[in-house]
Amino acid sequence: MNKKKDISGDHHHPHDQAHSHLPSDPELRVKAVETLLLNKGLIDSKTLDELIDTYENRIGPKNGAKVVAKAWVDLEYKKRLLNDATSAIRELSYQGRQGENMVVVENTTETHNVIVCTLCSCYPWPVLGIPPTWYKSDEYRSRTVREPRKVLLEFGLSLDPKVQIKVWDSTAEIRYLVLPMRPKGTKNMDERELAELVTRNSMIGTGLPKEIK
Amino acid sequence: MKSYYNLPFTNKTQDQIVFQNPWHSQLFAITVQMSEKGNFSWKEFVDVFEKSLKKQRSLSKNLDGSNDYFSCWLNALEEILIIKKVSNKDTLMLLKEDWTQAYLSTPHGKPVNIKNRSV
Repeated sequence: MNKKKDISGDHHHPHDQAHSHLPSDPELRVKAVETLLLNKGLIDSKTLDELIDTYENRIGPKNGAKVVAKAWVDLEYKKRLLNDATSAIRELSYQGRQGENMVVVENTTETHNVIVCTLCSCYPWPVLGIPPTWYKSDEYRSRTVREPRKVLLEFGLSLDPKVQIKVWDSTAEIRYLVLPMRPKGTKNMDERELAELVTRNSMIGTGLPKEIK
Repeated sequence: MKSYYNLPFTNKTQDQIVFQNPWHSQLFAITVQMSEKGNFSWKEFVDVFEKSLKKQRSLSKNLDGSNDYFSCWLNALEEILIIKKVSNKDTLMLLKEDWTQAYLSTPHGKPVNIKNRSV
C-alpha cells in the first residue's frame, strides 16, 4: 500500500512552531500539478496510489528472474524468448507498460550484453520494475557506451578480455533484457530455485547471477 | 570478485530503493496515469523529457539520477501539460503559490490544504 507520506519530512521548529514546514520547490510544483489534474478530473487518487503500490511492491526484477529461469530449463521457451521476447514474456503474464516491444539478448562465453538508455531511462518495467538511480545517472548513461569494460569493473564485474561487450541502447520503442548464462553447478536445481540466483543487475548486464557456494 | 560499491552510481544503500522521495513516486504515477488516459502518448512524453534532460545537462554538472533527474521529469510534465493545453504557466505558478501560502499559514501539525482555485 502506498502510505501517503508526509513530504514535508521530519522538521523541528526550535522557536515557536508557527507554521508547517515548507516543502521544497519541486515538491510544491508536484502538489500544484496534482491539484490541477485532480480538480480537472483527469487523474484520480485511487489510481495514483495503485500505480505507486504496483511499482514499489509488486512489479520488479523477480518477474524477470522467472523469465530467465524458465529459459534456462526449457529450451523451447528459450527459443521463443530470443525469437519474440514480447510474446514469450507475455506467456508468464508479464506485459503492458514499457514492455510492449521487448528484445532479449543472450550472454554467451564470447559475448556479454549490457543495457543502457543514453537518452533518458527507458527500461523494461514489466520484468524489471523501475530503474535504479544509477541507471538514470548521466555517468552510467554516457560512460557505458564509451568505456563499458571499465564501468562493468566498477560494478565488480571483471570480464575476460576475449569476451566481446555489446551495449544495447533502449528507447521508448524497444526495451532490452539480458539473458545471463546459467551458473555452473546448478544442474539439479528447479526453476524456482534458479530464479533465486537471477539478480536484477545480471538482467541489465552490470552483474552476473549468484554463484552456487 | 572485488566489489566497488562506493562509486557514484553503485551506492548499495540506495540501490534497492524504488523511489528515493515521495514526490518522485507521485510525479511518476501522475505522468503514467495522464498518459494512459490518452492525454499524451508515452513517446510524446519521452521526447519532451529528453529535451529537458539535455537542457539541464548543458546548464549544470552530470545528473546523478535522483532529485535532479526527477526535476527534469517534472519540467517535462509541466511542459507537456502546456503543449497539450491542459494548463498554462500562470495557473501552475498560482497553484504553487497557493500551496506555499497554505504551508506558511497553517499551524505546525495541522493538515495543510488549499482553497479551491478555479483551474
